[in-house]
Amino acid sequence: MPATVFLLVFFVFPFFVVLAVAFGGVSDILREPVPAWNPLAWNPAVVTFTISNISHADGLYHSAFLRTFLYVGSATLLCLVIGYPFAYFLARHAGRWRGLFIGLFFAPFWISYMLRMLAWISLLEDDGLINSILLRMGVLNTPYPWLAGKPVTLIIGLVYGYVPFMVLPLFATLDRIHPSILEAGHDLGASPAQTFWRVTFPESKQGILAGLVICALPMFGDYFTQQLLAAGSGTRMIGNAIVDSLAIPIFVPQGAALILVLLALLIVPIVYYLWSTQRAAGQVRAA
Amino acid sequence: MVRPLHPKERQVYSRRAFLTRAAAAGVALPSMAAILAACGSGAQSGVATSGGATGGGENAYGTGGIAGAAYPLARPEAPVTWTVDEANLIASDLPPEENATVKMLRWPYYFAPAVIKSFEKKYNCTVEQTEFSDMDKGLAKINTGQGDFDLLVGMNVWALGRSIAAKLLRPVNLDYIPNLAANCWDSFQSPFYDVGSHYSVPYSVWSTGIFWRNDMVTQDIAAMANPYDIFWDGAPVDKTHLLANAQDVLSMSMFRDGLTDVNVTDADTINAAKDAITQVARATNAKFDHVDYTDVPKGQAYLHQSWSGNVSDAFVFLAEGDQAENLSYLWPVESGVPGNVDNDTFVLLNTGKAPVLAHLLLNHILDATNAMTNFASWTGYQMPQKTMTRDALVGSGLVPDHLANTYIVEADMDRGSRELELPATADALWQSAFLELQAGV
Repeated sequence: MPATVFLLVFFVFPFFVVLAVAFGGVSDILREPVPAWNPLAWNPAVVTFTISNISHADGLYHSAFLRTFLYVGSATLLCLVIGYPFAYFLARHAGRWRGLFIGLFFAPFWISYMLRMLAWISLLEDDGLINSILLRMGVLNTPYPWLAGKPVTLIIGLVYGYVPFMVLPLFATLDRIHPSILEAGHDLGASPAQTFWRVTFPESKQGILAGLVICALPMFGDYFTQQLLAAGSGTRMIGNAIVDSLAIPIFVPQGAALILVLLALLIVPIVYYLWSTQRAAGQVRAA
Repeated sequence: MVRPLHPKERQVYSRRAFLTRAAAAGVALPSMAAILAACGSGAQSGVATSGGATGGGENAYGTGGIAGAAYPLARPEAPVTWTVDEANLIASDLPPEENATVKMLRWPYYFAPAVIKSFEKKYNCTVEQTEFSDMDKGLAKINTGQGDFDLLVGMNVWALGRSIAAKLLRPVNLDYIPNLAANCWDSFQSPFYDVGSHYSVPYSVWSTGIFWRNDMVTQDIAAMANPYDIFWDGAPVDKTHLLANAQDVLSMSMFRDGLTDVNVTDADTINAAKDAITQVARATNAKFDHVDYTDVPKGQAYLHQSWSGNVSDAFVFLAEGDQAENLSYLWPVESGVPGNVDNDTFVLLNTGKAPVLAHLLLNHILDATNAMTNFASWTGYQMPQKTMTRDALVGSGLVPDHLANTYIVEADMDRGSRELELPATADALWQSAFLELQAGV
């Protein structure tokens, strides 16, 4: 019963509101959205229009969707590249310092996301620390405008913001691999590298999948990182398109339609993750 | 003949067609017929033009103005007299509510605490302030009826008509506000957007111009025949910023082309402006924002389309060692080309529970001393007060001499052009064009 109430209050009702707005109208005088609460009165014009603006190469949201997949894909992979070695180190080599390392790694994340991004602004300013170091090292001749709508800055911001979501499931998975399995690999003559690729890595696949899904899902809806670190037309993501639409009353239904499309797309990896988790659990039970 | 489109036909839409239809879909949802009209034969049918429709807006909400909405749209050449909602007009000579709370809705950083405190002390009341981040959100807030707000500080002129028509505003009883007649510019005693000041009193005035760092931009913008050209020719890459709203940014291109009435409704003009601004955005990787007052002094932008009110106190954000002399501002009207000048207003709200105190608060703010305190200690946005002359403001040392042009004089209200409320479909075209600009398509 509590789970049902939770689901109704925090998912079903808000989702219905989004549907009612997406399929609703706009008031004549204030030009504000008017939700259509009766599904029989829903008008699909804006939703179909929004979808065509995504699918058409010249559509308003087409580029933002492509960019979002590119940036989220790149940032998620970078999170994996950074997060896996760290999680592996924590699980295998940190020993009694494990708690300290975990604490140090997560300490910045006790601070709010906005403050951490503001800190990055300070670091990336023309006269910020990063440019100062690069200039001193002779890598740059003039300060690089990191904050002037650069994709690289956006990806850095996304990686920094979401890498803990990769480390946690990876650490949990790697830590659960029983040392006897690794010892068996060694005993059978495998080198450390072979043991990693043939034992550790396959055993951590569920953690990788969980990390990828948990990292990527919130990134798809992220708009704040772009606004703070990389604002510019060339870096706008679908989250920004949603926020832009919601900021203009007459386009709120289009913003709601974008939310529906994004949700429909994100259901695919969620379902795959759930299916994969259940299958893995089934295999464990069978063994 | 209008007809719905087959899904396959949508695949061959041009971006321009998308723009027009995006606008139509956005505004026309209450009526399926309107959607089909937009899809089949263009969104512009039936939209009144800015010029030539004078007198078409007479209806139950008011007289005068032009047609294009359910209520008259105010224009300088077609002023609007709003019908007074007698039921919500308070009588004269009522005593102020005792121990009451006046609920104010306002823009962030838009009001000096010292002025509020002195009012609270004078009338033994509390002023509770709530912020809204843009006008649309402010309207949404008062439209819900929640909050029992008494007054709104900073209602844009373009939002006034729709708020009156939606019965959100309480008529103003000027008997409580003698400071309007005593202290405000004559041009605001009975402005074109509210003849007789039945629903509003003026708050701040500003011009929209060009703000730049003269130590980084080498061209002499003030000497250019058309100063707007700087954005198209020589604007610094990665360091050029534009204002983040449809009317200001698109109007800039129209002003550059010599248009004085930028409240246009035809898709071609709007699209041409969008294309021109897209050129700037692509060439310079321009950013759209409203934080010119920190961007330019901190060097995040060297060139920024700006509001004079944001420029006038921007020098306080200069880095240590930097100098105010490095900042320059130009209202292009000074160079003989068209430009924007605008004002916003105070309005009273029907939901308020302390209407007498709300009236008295308006009068308190319009007091010459309080207005100067508000300006000097807080907002940077000038009020249209008789005593707030350019000489007085510069003489007080509030800004360097070379930024004196951030202050406007009463005659500037006639020299500049206004960005005003548009018919719904045209408004959607403007907003849609701006969405495209932001999206970079």
